[in-house]
Amino acid sequence: MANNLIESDIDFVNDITKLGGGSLKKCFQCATCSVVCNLSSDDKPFPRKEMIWAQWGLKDKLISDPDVWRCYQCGDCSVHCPRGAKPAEVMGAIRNYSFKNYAFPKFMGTALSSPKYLPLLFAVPVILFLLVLAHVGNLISVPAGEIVFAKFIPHLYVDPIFISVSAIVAGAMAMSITKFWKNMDTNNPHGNHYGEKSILQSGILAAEEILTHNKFKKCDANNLRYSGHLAIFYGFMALFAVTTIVFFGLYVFGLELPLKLTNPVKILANIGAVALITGCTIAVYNRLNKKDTSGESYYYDWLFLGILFIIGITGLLAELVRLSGNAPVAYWTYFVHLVFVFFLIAYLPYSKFAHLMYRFVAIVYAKYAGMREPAEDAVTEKTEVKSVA
Amino acid sequence: MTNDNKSVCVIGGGISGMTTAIEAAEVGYEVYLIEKSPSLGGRVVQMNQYFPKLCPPQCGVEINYKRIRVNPKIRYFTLAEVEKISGTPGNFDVTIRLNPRYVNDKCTACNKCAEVCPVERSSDYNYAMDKTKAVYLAHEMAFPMKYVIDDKVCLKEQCAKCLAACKYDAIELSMKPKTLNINVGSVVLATGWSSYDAAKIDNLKYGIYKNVVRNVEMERLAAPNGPTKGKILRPSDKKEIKSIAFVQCAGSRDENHLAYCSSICCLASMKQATYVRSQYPDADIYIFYIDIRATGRFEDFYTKVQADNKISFIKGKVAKITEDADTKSLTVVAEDILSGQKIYKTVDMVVLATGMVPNGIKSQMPADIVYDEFGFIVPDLQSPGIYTAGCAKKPADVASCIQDATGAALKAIQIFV
Repeated sequence: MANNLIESDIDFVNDITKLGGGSLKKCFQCATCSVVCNLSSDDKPFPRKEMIWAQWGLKDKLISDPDVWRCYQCGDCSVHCPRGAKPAEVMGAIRNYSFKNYAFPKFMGTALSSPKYLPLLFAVPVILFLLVLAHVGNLISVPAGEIVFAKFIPHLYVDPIFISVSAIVAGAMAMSITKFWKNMDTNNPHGNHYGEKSILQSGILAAEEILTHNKFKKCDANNLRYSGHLAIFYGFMALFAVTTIVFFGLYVFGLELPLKLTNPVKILANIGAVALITGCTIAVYNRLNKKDTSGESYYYDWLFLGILFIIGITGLLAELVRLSGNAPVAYWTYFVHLVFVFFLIAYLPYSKFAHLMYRFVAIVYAKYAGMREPAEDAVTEKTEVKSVA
Repeated sequence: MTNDNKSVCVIGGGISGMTTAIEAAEVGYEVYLIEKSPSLGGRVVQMNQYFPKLCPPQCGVEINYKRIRVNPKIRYFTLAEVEKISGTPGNFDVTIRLNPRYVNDKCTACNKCAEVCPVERSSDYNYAMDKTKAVYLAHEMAFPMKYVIDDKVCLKEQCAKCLAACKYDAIELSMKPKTLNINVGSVVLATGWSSYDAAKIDNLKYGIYKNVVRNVEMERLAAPNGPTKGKILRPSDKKEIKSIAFVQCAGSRDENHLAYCSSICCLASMKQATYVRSQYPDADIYIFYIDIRATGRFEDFYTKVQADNKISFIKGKVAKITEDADTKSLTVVAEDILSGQKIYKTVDMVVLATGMVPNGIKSQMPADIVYDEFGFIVPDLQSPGIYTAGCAKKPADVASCIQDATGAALKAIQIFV
């Protein structure tokens, strides 16, 4: 066997510490975490191995480890940890690190990692939409008559902006995901056992896991997190569906906006908005009051949650003010809403929003590579492993 | 200080307290030995064997009892609790409450009283694994060899069957508590330890699954004078065992329970593995650990146990235990760190290696004593003339306690010269 020298990346350890893994050095490798975790499998379970890799600065292993994304940060491990090493938070820190690490182009990763770039990031959509307003002559005074948002910022301008931004984002995501997949495939600590499932089958199973939240549901220590996430997820999905339907409705079927309140699509939109806001409220409450299980919250967490929360609130508010007939407030609320939507979409691959894609891809990969799933029941699953000691 | 009082008050009659008392008395000083339970002996008399020599504690304890019995310089008080300590070196006033035994010196330990006694109480000597009568002998080697009545359960005059049964007039149901005031020159605290309350460790199911026991209970199960007469049988159905798992650091080195290492549990579990091995040569024995702490010459014992092919050491802490509802067998789950695999072992019985909790955590001495955050007495911070011996100060094995107690005796008397 060749000499396997461990290359320790000290900068990586320091980064993880700053991103929320400050407790990682307290770990003394008792493996309580791996056992109390309801999501980790019997074969090389997490997060014990991730803890020692993080202590040793084994960046390559961690950024390629699908298990980092199979963790939903329930906090069961942190609650039972005898050392206060908070494995759940360390796993979260590794995920935060991955957002920056896989960012394409790199400077966008840096831009989303610290609040000091926040004004610059917001300046982009603000200036862009102000220019549109100036161009169509709505900057000084809002349009008169019935409040129709398309009169304020016409679709002719909004849609091309969002379509091109989405295309760029999709390209960037593809770059990051390709690299992530390749890394997982080369460094997978579990070894690869292909052949059981195709990528398509794996994708369907991964989608099922995410849509049903069936893994997330297994969290013991903090199931409020699960409820909050479920509400945000389905609220967001509903709104995403509404946007897609309206987009095609508009261009393919010549739909008239705004939709009536009794329109099924509008009803879906309103339910989605309420779910999103409710979910965000639960999440904020959870982060502020359940630190023992949720752990500390960091910039990545608050930025993403804050953006979603504001999108939900400004969206609903714009609708309500529009119905009340106060044109200036309605139009400018809509403006703010658009700025935040732009922020969410344009910076998706670099913010915590990207957990959606990394987690999905990691789960697809785990299934494709034949990694084991958590044992349904410890008693029925009896693996006899020959002890090395 | 030549005119000062040159006697020593030793609080706690376990192995440390007895040793301090004997050492101080045998060089000529007056000693008061205060024990709150009905018998001297403390925790060691609940042990089956000492590690690493695997000899029973009885012989050493018996020698100490004899040294106390024959030495007129030692005055010992059982069922005695300290109510107040005040003063300065050479002049401490100690107030002691003597709780009633309800049995006087005429007792011959003939057991006639217990035979007629209708009331039962759970045995603290056997960690509630069996029962004694309300009038009982602390244990078969009790010192003093006198019965005692548990006044929390005794029906007293309403029943009084023992009174009639005792032909020596040894029962005195009207006995009242007394107060004793003594003046001494120095004080030694040897207040000892208790085993950690494993019910607080929610994932290990002690107190919920019958076949999960603590190491201290395992000592009683293996001891010839224990509830099973020394045969290790599992509590749920009193059957012989085919497999057993020892869970090290059960609550120890754990911020949520005892943040410190008690230093003795690794050796205790290895010792108990040898009990199982000698009774059941074919039993599978698993010891789940984080780190084995066998310091100094104890390493030899570790090496010897490790060489046994029926005893497996698995590096990984047990963090989950499940019970089969029908068979009451237990499955322990750990991650075997060396292979990176979760390991499930189904066993007949689980022993939790719980740590030592200083008795100072629940009942602090009525004096100006400095305790640390865990309830251990901090020796260096005590007022002059007050010293500490044994596990009241830190977790330790018996041999270390005896050495420490001898040192405490020296400290307690050297202020007189």
